[in-house]
This record gives sequence, C-alpha cells and structure tokens, in this order.
Amino acid sequence: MIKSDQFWDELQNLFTLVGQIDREGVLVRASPLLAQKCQLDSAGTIQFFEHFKFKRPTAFNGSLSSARESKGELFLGFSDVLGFAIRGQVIDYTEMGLDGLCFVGVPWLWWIEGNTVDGTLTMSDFPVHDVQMDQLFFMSTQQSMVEDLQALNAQLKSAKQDVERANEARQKYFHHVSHEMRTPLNGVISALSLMSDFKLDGKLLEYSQLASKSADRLLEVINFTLETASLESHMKEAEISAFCLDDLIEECLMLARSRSLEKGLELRRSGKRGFSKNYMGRLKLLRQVLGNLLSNAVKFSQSGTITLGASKVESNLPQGDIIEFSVSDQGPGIPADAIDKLFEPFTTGLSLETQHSQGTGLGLSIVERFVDALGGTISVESSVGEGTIFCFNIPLSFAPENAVLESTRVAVREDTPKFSGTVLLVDDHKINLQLNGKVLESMGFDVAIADSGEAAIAHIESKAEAVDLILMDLDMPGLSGFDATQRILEISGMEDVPILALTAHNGGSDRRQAEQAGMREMLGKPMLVEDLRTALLAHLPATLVASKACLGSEATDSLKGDRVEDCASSTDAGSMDEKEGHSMIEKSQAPAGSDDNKAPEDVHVFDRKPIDRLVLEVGIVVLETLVDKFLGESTDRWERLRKAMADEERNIIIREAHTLGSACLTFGLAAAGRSFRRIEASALADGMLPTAEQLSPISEQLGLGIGELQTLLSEQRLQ
Amino acid sequence: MYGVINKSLRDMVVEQFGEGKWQEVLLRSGVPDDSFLAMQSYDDDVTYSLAQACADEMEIDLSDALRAFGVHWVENTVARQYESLLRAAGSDMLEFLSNLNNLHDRISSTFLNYRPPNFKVKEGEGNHVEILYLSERLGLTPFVEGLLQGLAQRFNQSMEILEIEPQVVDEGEKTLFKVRMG
Ligand code: HEM
Repeated sequence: MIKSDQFWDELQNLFTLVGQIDREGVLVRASPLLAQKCQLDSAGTIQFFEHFKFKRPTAFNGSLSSARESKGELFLGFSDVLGFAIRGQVIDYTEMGLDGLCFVGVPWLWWIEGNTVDGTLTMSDFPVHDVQMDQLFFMSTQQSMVEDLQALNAQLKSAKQDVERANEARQKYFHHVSHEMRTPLNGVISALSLMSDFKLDGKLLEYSQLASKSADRLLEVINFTLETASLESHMKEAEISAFCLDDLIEECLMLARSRSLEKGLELRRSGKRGFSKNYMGRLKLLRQVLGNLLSNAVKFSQSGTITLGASKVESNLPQGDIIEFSVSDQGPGIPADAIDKLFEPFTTGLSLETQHSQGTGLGLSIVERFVDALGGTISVESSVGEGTIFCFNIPLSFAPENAVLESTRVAVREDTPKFSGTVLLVDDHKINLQLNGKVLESMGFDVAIADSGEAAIAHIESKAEAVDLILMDLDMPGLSGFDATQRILEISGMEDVPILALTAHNGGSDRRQAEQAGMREMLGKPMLVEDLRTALLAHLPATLVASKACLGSEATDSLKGDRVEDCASSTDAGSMDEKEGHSMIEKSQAPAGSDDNKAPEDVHVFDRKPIDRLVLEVGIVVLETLVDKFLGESTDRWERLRKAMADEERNIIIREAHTLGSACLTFGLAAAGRSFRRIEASALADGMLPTAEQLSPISEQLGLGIGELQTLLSEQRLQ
Repeated sequence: MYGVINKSLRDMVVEQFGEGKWQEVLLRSGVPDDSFLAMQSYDDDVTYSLAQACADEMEIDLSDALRAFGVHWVENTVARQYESLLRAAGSDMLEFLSNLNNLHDRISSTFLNYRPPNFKVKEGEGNHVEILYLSERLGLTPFVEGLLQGLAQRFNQSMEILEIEPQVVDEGEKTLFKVRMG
C-alpha cells in the first residue's frame, strides 16, 4: 500500500469526516459518512468550499487560497440542501502524499439537531472523543433542570403568596375580633365603674376591684393586638424620605419638653450638632423610635437629666453614614433580670402594679421592631438607681443634593417668627397649662408654670428665673388673677413686667378690673394664637422678638389659631354663651358647646374632631400624655363630684362638673361633656340640686367615649 | 440515583393516578419532599422507598411496579427528554441495545458519580437474543424487564421474553434475559 493511502486510512480512524480537496477545490476523496452525505458517487465534481456555506472562519471567503490561510481555524459549514453540517479544520498534508488540502472533523450536531427533522445520525457517527454527543445529553438534562427550577420557583412564589394572604387575613381577623371585643368590654368596664358608685365592702369590693383591674388589663391586651395589626402595615408603608437630622432631633426634644419640664427633669442633646449632610431614611419609623424612647425616659424618671444623643460613627461608607443614637436617663434603672424581657410587649421592667399605673410597655416592643426595620439593633444598659441608656446604630444614606426635605415639625416652624425669654403661665387647670405651654414653647419661649395665684407669687419670689411676661388666668380658686397681678407688680423688679389676662368672661367689668389691677391686655379663652402674637409683639421688649415678620406669616404657620383655640377651648366652652364682646365661638369651628341644647342622648359619645386637631398641634406623643393625665385627674374629680352631690355642696358640684365637662369636650368625649354641662347648669340654677343618680348614664358615656378615644389614639400613633 | 429517575417515577404516578395519589405515595414512602432536581444525585434509598410505596399504595407487587416504571421510563421520560439521544443510539432494538453502554458511558462526563448498568447483547439463532444485564444495584431486574418491553414498543418490534435467569454474582445483580424478537 502506498504511503498516502496508509495515511488516508489512519485519518479515517481518527476522524469521522475526512475529505481530500485538490488544487482546483474539488472534493476528490471522502470518508464514508461524508461521501454518503455529499453523494460523492452520483454527483459530478463537488466544489467542496462552495458545497457548504461556512459560518466560520469569519474571514473565509470560499476560495482555496483563503482556506489555506485559515488553516488551523475552526470551520463550521452547512448545507440546507443536504441537511448536513460539518465541523472541523483544514490541514495541508501534501508532504504525506495527499495533494491539495484535507478537511478533518465531525458532523456538526447542533446544526443538524436544529435544522433537520430526523437527523439521521447515529451514535457511531460520533467518535468517542467527540464531546458533542455528551453535550447533547447535557443540554437535554440542563433543559429539564431549568424547567425543574422554574417549577420550584413558581411553587415557592405561590406558597409565599399563600402565606402572605393568610397573614393578611389573620391580621384582619385580629383587627376585627379586637374591635368586636372592645365594645362589650367597654360595657363591662362602665358597668364595673358604675358598681363602684354603690357602697360595696368586704369581699364584694375586693372582687369588683379585681374585675375592674382585669378588665382594664384585657383592654390593654386588645389594644395591643389592634396595634400590632396596624403596625404590620405601618412598617410596610413607611416610606423613605430625605430629612434634616438636626431638625428631627429638635423636634423629638421639643415634643418631650413640656412633660419633662413639668416633672422637673432636664432634657438635653449630646453629640455634635450640625450634621453636614441631609439623610435619606424611613423618617416616620425613626421619629417614632426616638419619641417613644424619650417619652419612656420621661415617664419613668423622677429626677435628673434625660439625654438624646446622635453622632456619626467612624465609617467610610461612600453613600452614607452610620449614626449612633442614644437616649439615657437617670431614672430608677431596670433590674438585670428584667432587661432580657424588656422588649417583650407589656414588659417595662417595673412591677405589675407600677406598670399598670404608668401604662404598658408596649412602646419598647414597637421600638425594637422599628429599629430592626431601620437596619439596626437596639441595646440597653441599665443599673438600678442610676439610670438607663438605650442605644442603636443605623445606616442612613446621604440625600441627593437637591432632594426635597420631608419637613419635620420643627422645620415648619423655622420660618415663623421666634420669640425668646421666659413666660410664666398661671392657670389652675393643668391641661390648659400644658396646651398653652406648648403653644408658647413652639413660639420659642421658655415656659414656667404655676397652678394658682399663690404659686405664681412664690415662683417669682423664689427668683428661680427671670420672668419676661406673665399670662394670668383670672378665674382661679384662691387668690384671683386680679389680686395676684396686683401683688406681683408690687414685688420689686416686677413693676414693668407685662401681665396679660386670660379670661372666658371678656366682659366690661372684668376688663375694667383688669386694667385697675395693672394688666396690660385681656386675651380671650380659649387663647387665639393670632391674638396672643399681636399682644406679645405689643408688650414684649423688642429684644425678645426675633422677627417682626410674624404677623404676616400667620397664614403659613403650622400653629393656626383656630386649631389651638379649639384645643385649648373646652375649659370654658360651656360658659361661652355668657360671653359678650369678642366671642371666641365665632372664630372657632363651632366647638362642642354649639350643640349644648341637644339632649345628651342625641350627642355621640365621641367626636374625633378635637383629637384630630390636637394631633396636628401638639403631636401624638404629647397628646397621649395629656390624655393619660386627664384620665388620671378625672377619676379624682369624679369622686369629688359624687361626694359633693351626696353632701349637697352646690359650689363644689358647679366647679367639678364644670372642669370635668370642659376636659371631656377637649378630648372629644362629647356626650359626657354635655351631661356634665347640664349638671353644672342645674346646679347654677338655684333650684333642686342634681343627684348622684344622674351620674350613671355619664359613666356609661365616658366608658364608651374613652374606648373610642383610645382606639383613635392608637391609630393616630401609627400614622 | 439521579433526580431524573425519581422525577420520572413521580410523573408516572401523577399521570396515571393524579397528584393526590402521588402525595399519598410520598407520605407513605417517608421521603420528605419531592422537589427533585434532574441533575442532582439522591440516595438510592429514595428511589427504592418511592417504588415500594407505589407498590403498596396500588396494592401490587414491587416487581410489577418496577416493570411499569421501566415501560414509563422509555416511553415517556426518555422519549420526551432525550429523544435525540435515543434516535442517535439506534434505529432498531438490537442496535440500540448494543449502543446502550456507550450511551450510559457518555453520560458519565455529565453525571459524575453515577453507576450505570451494563448490557451485553448476543444474537443467537432464529431471532433468539440473549441480553445480559449487570448492575451494581440489587433488585432492578423487573425494571429492566419493563425497559426492554418499552424499547420493543418504541421500535415497533415484537419481543417475547422467554426466560429470565438470575446469575450468581458476589456483588450487585446479574441477569440473563433470553428473548425472541419478532
Ligand atoms: C437517553 C436515555 C437514557 C438516559 C439519559 C439514561 C440515564 C440513566 C441514569 C442517569 C441512570 C441513573 C444511574 C445512577 O444514578 O447511578 C440510569 C440508570 C439505568 N439505566 Fe439508563 N438512561 C437512558 C436510557 C436507558 C435505557 C433505554 C435503558 C434500557 C435498557 C436503561 C437502563 C438503565 C438501568 C437498568 C438503570 C439502573 C441502574 C442499575 O441498574 O444499576 N437506560 N440511566
């Protein structure tokens, strides 16, 4: 056998497809499969490089010389006519005696698979070293693998949806059931409180107290359930917004200030002020967290300083900062064994008794979840008798240069005029003190308070702080506003301090008396912010007014007069009818007093409008402490009123009914407020005194009304 | 065995008796879940437990279940997913069987730790054929029986199994199938 033939046979052992192409480009010899596919026997001459269309090499142009240049490169050629494709390379075996060029390779499986119906190849058409067959198998399996994964994915997705749906349904159900439970429970609570009107003793008293306590606790639990349900959606919805961290901190401090002031606590900010950049984050959640921590600190501290800290943690994140927040107090501290459970709902680290009197520890479980949602973890350190510090770090990304900042409440006020100096607010009604105190604070004043004329004088004589202006209620038990004014003006150094009167009876005789006493101006009660501003501008030394632009900016002021008026209103809402001259009622949006004539039964137990306004004005955190306080005070007053009725003490009845009525109307307890007004009115008329029986329906109105009030508050807290 | 086998078993039950039945089989088998991935290797026990549970659930012998599975594997799974391979492996039963080792071998480059069977085909006189099946595993002879039947159907050939002779081996299983092709 000649050498070239031997070599040809060797090639055929090695490659499935072998073809010899002469110098004219004609296929002169081919291995069996190639010969069969190219019909080498029957056809005439076959121009090999024209017979197939070549996808590769890209530069190959079909000519023999081009083929020669592409030696060693991959050739991919196909023929639609033949339904066949080849994959291989061109080699020059001239020196082995094979003239021209040789093509060696295998069938191009992918093309054949994809372009022919029954790809008539068999396994033996692929030498074992050809991986195309393995690939084919791999591809088939891969395909089913992808399908498996897609199917699994779809299953997971639908399972997730099912879970979410179920969760949502559960939440809704909880919400619904809690709502449904609350109504009868309020009935129970009212009934129990009615029972306490009877003279119970011994075991009966003990049991009814136990029932009362349990019912209250149950109500808390139900409220908690309701809250968690809304919490879920709240967390989901809390949007990311751009804000100024300094403003946020100021806002939180401001909200906690009045309460801490009242308890004699100092409230401070630590850490460097003035963050150089604005941040992006879930502002609502952060505000709630800081607010809750601060209000807890205030709630549980009896003395000392409460500090809110915020500082950058060293990090070189390109897109933001890590901020460490801390809230510390010098309160009673939390025992070590209570710390672990601190973030569980209803745990405050205090005994059940104390806890009960101070509200549940729901706040901290919310705080923990919110901090978690903000991307941090909250930690707490505490030692009994020394105080507690809560800390958390969260990442905040930088707000883009031109981002529109979410205005914090402080920021809104920023463009309204600022006053400075100290105002002494004198009023026997605590809630009025708080509300008006807040209004004054928001204007920039430091506020001192006194709940009677005597206390006001004592405060001034103590010389604890310089007072720049006094707002004096005229209608106080003990020393009247007129007398107190006269005595204050006699104190040396106080001669020139402006004293403004606050009164619901803005009539002529009061006015004359006030002028005689040395008061500069009369302001109506409820206090209108516009009037107050005008008066302040008129009577305060110019140095204490930062901007005189205030009169013009009222329209944009977040503390709109009519709103404040309504919040502060109700103390005297009932006596408005008697007012002459400039009546507040015309300016206010018909406060509760306007349907005074309606029978109490026709009035809703609860009217949400006053609360909505208060939320806008003082914020939910302050409002809640006010409501807490109101509820606490009302129990005592209720007791006094009942006793006065039993003892037929007309004056006390008038006073207590009046105060209770006002307070109820302030907080939207419309029906109860109205009923107290009626009692007041009938006591004022000289006839028969109202009797204790009249209290029963009020108790029920109160119970239902307070229930609704609390629901609304918990809803508002989450908004 | 690889997930592709377990999946095929599941498909057989689901196609013939519905998803509910499969869930019962699954429960009975004690196999925790049926999200098999074709290219993942599972413990042989999974396949055995599933096959046994099938048999129990249908109240048939394990061997009948395996036989049915053999037919299903060729007619459905292989035909659907590996049609091109099947085509490439032969155009009649005997050609296919003689290529089967080659086919399983080639898969080795994809399925790394799999233990394929081995088949030896000997053509005798008068359409008689001896097929020797060798496996590292035990108890799959009925499965092979089903596979052979499935193949005959696939190639439109009639085939009669004359004898099934278990052979003595130290490990695994060795069975001689004596068949007559039509
Ligand atoms: C393209 C089609 C086929 C593919 C992709 C394929 C693939 C496989 C795979 C992945 C296994 C599992 C081995 C392990 O996990 O260790 C297997 C086992 C097996 N295959 Fe195939 N196979 C095919 C066709 C066939 C056919 C037609 C037969 C028929 C005779 C067959 C007979 C078997 C047997 C009997 C086993 C069980 C293993 C044993 O006995 O130990 N296969 N095959």
